[in-house]
Parts: sequence; C-alpha cells; structure tokens
Amino acid sequence: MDIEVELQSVFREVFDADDLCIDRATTATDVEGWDSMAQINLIVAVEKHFSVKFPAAELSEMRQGDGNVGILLDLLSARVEATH
Amino acid sequence: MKDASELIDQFANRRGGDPDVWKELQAWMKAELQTDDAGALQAAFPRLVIPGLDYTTAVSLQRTLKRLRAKIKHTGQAPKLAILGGYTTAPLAGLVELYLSAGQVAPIVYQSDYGTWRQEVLDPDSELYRFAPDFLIITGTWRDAGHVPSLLDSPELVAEKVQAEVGDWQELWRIANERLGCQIIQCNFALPPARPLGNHDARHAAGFGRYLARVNDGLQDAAGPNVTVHDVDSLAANVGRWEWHDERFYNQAKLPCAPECLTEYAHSLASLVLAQLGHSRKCLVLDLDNTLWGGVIGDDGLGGIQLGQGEPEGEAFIAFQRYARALRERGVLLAVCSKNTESIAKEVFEKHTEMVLRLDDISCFMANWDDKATNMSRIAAQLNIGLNSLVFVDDNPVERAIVRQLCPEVAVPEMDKDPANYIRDVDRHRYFQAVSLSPEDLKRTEFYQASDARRALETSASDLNGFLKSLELVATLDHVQPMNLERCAQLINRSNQFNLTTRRYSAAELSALSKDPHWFTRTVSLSDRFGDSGLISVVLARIEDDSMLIDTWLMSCRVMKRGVEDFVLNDLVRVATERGLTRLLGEYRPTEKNGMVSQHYENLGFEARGENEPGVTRWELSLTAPLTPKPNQIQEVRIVGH
Repeated sequence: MDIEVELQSVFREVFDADDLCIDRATTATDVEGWDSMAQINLIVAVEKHFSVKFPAAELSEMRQGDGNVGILLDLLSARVEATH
Repeated sequence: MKDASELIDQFANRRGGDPDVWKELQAWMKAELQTDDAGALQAAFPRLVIPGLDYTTAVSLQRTLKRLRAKIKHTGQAPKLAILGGYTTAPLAGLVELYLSAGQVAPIVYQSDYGTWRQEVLDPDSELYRFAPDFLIITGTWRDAGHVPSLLDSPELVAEKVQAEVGDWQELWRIANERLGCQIIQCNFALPPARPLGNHDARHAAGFGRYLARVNDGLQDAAGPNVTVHDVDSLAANVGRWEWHDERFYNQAKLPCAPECLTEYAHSLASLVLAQLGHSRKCLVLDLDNTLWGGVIGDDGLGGIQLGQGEPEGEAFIAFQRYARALRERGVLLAVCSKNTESIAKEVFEKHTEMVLRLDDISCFMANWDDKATNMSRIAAQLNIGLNSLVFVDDNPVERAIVRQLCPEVAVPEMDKDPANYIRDVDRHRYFQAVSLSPEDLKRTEFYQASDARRALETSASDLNGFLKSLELVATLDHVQPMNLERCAQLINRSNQFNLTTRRYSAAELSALSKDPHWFTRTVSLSDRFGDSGLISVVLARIEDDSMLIDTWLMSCRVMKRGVEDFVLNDLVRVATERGLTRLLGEYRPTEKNGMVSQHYENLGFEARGENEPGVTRWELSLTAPLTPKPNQIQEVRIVGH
C-alpha cells in the first residue's frame, strides 16, 4: 500500500477537490479550506480509511502550523505499521 | 453508469458504506449539478439523507446540499434555529441542517460563542434576542453540570443539588421563553462511561452517574409544553458510551462526542424540529407475506406460514408485529397493502392464533392485485391524510422501488433481508416523532388495562401464588391441528426435560394421529402480562376401553413452575369424565435428561402401578369418585378445541 497515494485520495474527498495534489511539503496554507474544522474532518477520514486511531499527543503534533502533510505522513506510517 | 435510483437504494441499504457505490453516486451528483435545474438530484436528495451516515459522507453531502441550494432557490420552510452550546457546535449545526433537508426545510442558523449560553440568555441585548429564533436549542455535556455533589454530602444535600441543577436550567428556559416565546429544545446529559465508584456509581447518592440520571429525570418533569427535552443520553447508550465519548475530540476540538456519533445526534435533533414543524409521519403501511409473517399465505396456507414461538424467524415476525402494535397503541395508524386475495389475507388475522395484529388494529386493509403505488393513494384518500404521512414497509425491493418512483412523498425505508432487523430498520428513521403524546393518542381501554395491571402488582403478595396471580396468566386450549402442527412436532422432537416418555413423532405421524378417533390430543398456549409464550405444552393420549392412556406429556421449560401441569390435569380429568372414562393411566420413562418429572404423577395424586419394563413406572388416577380440581393461578381459559 502506497500510503502517500491513498492519503491523497482521502485529501481529495475531504477537501472536495478532484485534482488536489499533495506532497510532504504541503501545508495548510497550500490547500483551500484547510482550517481547524477541516483538520478534524481530515483526522476522522484518515482514521477511518486506514483503520487507525491517533493518540492525543499525535493529534496535537499534526496541528503544527494548522496542518502539515509531512508530519501527518510520518505519524500515519508509524501508526499503520504499529496497528497492522 | 447504473440507474441513479438503483444506486441510491444501494447506498441507503449499506448506509453509504460501500466505497464504489459512493464514488459512482458522487459522480452522478456532480453531473447533476452541471445540468440546468439539477431536478433529479433535488428530487432524490431526501433519500440520501438517511440516519447512521458516516461522518465523512455526511460532510460531503452537506457540501452538495449547499451547491444545490445555490442553484435552486429554496421555497419551503425556513425556521430560525439558535444553538447555544457548552462545546463547539458548528459540526452539529451543519449536520442538523443536512438532516432537516430531508423534510424540505432549510433553517437559518445562529450559534453562540463556545460556552456562553448563560450570558446569551441572561443579557437582554445579546445577539440571541436580535436573532429572534423560532427554536432555541440548548446543549451541553456532563462537564456543564454546575452542582455536582461531593461523596461526603448527605443524601438530603444531594437531593437539593439535583433540584438546584434542574432549577438553573429551568430559570434559563423561563427567561428565554418570556423574551422569545419560542420552542426550546434542551438536550439532556449523556452519562459518561467512566464509573469511578464502580457499581456504586448508580447506588451511592452522590455517584456522578446517579446524579446526572436524576437531573435528567428532573429536566423531563420540569419541562412544560414549550420545552422539549432531547434524550441525548439514550443516543449515547445506544451507540455505546465509550465510543460516544471519544475524549480525544473533546480535548482537541471541544466536540461533545466522537464525530462519527454526531450524525446520530443531528438526526435525532432534526427529527424533533421536523415534528414541531408538522413533518412527522402518521401511518405505517405494511405488506403481509414475508413482512408480517414468513412465507406466502396464498401458497403455504394457514399452517404453512412462519409465525410464532419456537422458530427464530417466526419469533422475529412476532416481534415486528408487536412493534407495529406498540406504534398503534401510541396513535400511529396501521394500514395493510398486499398483493393477495382479500379473504385469504384477512383469514390470517382472524384465525391464526399466533397473530399479534388483529383486524381491528388495521385502519385500512388494502389487499388486491393492483400495483402498490395506486394502493398508496387509495390508502391516503381513505384515511384522509397526505401521501407524505405514509411509511411503507415491504420486504420486496421491487415493490419498494415502484412506490418510491411513483409516490416519492411516501417514505420507504430499505429493509434488511433478515426479519430480525425489521424493527431496527424502521425505528432508526424516527418517522413518528411526536410533539406530545396526549391521552387521546392512546387507546383508552388499554390505558385502563395498564393501570389495572399496576394495581395488581401493587397488591401482589410476596408468595408464589401472589406472584403467579400478578402474572395474569391466560391459557388457550386446542387440539393438534394443521395450524399448530409444525410447532407441536418441533416440541415433541426437541423437548427433553419436561417430557414424561420422550416419544418422538414426525409431523406426518402427528397429523394422522390427530385425526384418529382413538386418540385425544391437547395443546396449551400460555400468555401473561409480559407477553405471549405461544404453544408450550402437548399431551397425546390413547383411549382404550374405559381408560385414557397418556402416551406423551411434555411442556416447554420456559413456563415451569406456573401451575400449568395442574391446569392440564384438570382439563384431562374433565375431558375423560365427559367421555365416561373411569381412569387416567400415566407412564414415566426415565432418560438422562428428564429427571425433573420423575415425581410428576405422584405429585398430581396418581397411584403407583409398578413397572412394566425395567425403570418404566406406571401410574393410575381413578375417576370413579369425583375429584377436586387442582388449584392453579391461570386467570382465564380460552378453549379453541374441545
């Protein structure tokens, strides 16, 4: 499973943008509508899609700069590995 | 692409859970939004807004709704909703808006700042009063309770604190009502999952769970007609409290519950608003074959349909009928819409002993061979209500699709294939949410029956007879006959414990025997205050000369110790005497499992007549002198077959 590709499809669903492309450097300022509410929606969708649950500390870490794909990817990969 | 309607059915069936269906549906919705009037999407949208949507799907549908509304000007009701919350209310508000669209309602929403509900209500110059809502929704979490007792408080002090808590909210309602005169919806407290006192959380006067439960009770009692208490606690309990209270989302975003549970919260809240706006449904229209019973009455006949105690499927249909009956008792109309010959369909209601619903429960009986959409209009016309008051339940997806297509105003829930899930599939939609339950809604005679039952319980003694009396047992006597043949065969071939001889008979043998004049067959069905146990006892006896030989006597263990044995003996004595017989002969054949009835005949006053095979004891009861009937607590006897 290529986590980055799957994560991109989750982003597209959450932000309702079929042509949205993300990479490790993408942050909240690059994506239209990535506010604190969208961050919650994103976490719910990611947790469901990858069948994982992030501990509270990781949820805080992801909020740095209101949203950061690089951090999310690192935490998600570790979480997926630990869970599955 | 698949037909959109079929796609929506699949979506509704899996509650949006199939990613491929959802993708196709999204593509269809996008294409629709590109058309001039998006008419098909506009028409189909209410069918997408089903309870139990997952959060991500619901948020996506919210966006679609927004676009749809931008394209087509909303012309329906647009009530003003103010939401005052002790937490972040925006996600809930958005979902409430989504669910209100199912009733073609587009609210204007005002939300207070986080945690400022008291100030908003108390300050006459607040934004709330400028907004002047039609509905004021006040919602918090257990963290917003203001008079939490300490474990050292006396029970009296705790009671005062409960009063103070309720009083605080009541005061807010009073002020808001004075200044706004609008309907107030107060959410009650969802009890937290953690119980630091363990089981004492519900026992100790100051246990937090007990405290909140008492406050919730007090809120209900304090609420006048202008206040609706929204039972959020029941939602949390239904979902599961640990799942509902995902603390991570409170800590992170001050959400009252896990986002996945917000859709249920919003659906329930929206159903209360829709009820106030007059959108509740009034009539449940029921198909018959495979909806109220298993099988097809026209093909299988009275004895062939599945209905009744004993078989899991038969019990599921009974449970569903009970649910429908409970709806009727609270004032929901019931109608039948079935492709059947009317007389054959009605015969089940009149003659099948396991039917819970009776003909007088049905306000409109439509059994014919016309299409069901036409019949929906007839039912609505006959009951003098709109098509938008009907809910149609049918196990057949084709019939559901036809009604949806030709009568889009009728609500047609997707039904699971398993009848055990029928109740859930109707109940979860909250179709029949009522503003209030007035006494006129409830059927009077049954209301009085209920108070009689309570009185009986109050006076019931603590002894066994008093208890049995309070059960209000009703026994129905019948013979083995085609309609109960299957159940009898099943009991005869399965009962091991309360079974004197453990002789097995096939349904065919049993059928032959029931028609043989040398045999007497007896079946007993039992019901009580709590419900119907169905057919629970079978006796097969052979008549030889002046004797009645009890070949088989068995009983279901679920009705042990209710005096049924004594009652059956009285009946056997009565029948034998009427036939001029002079004695009853019994037999006990011990097995590994039937030890519980080894004293059966002795207890009933039979005399031992030795063994005819090793271990097999024989018993005799002489009828030459009149016998005093055995006392028992069966309150009422209905004799179907003599």
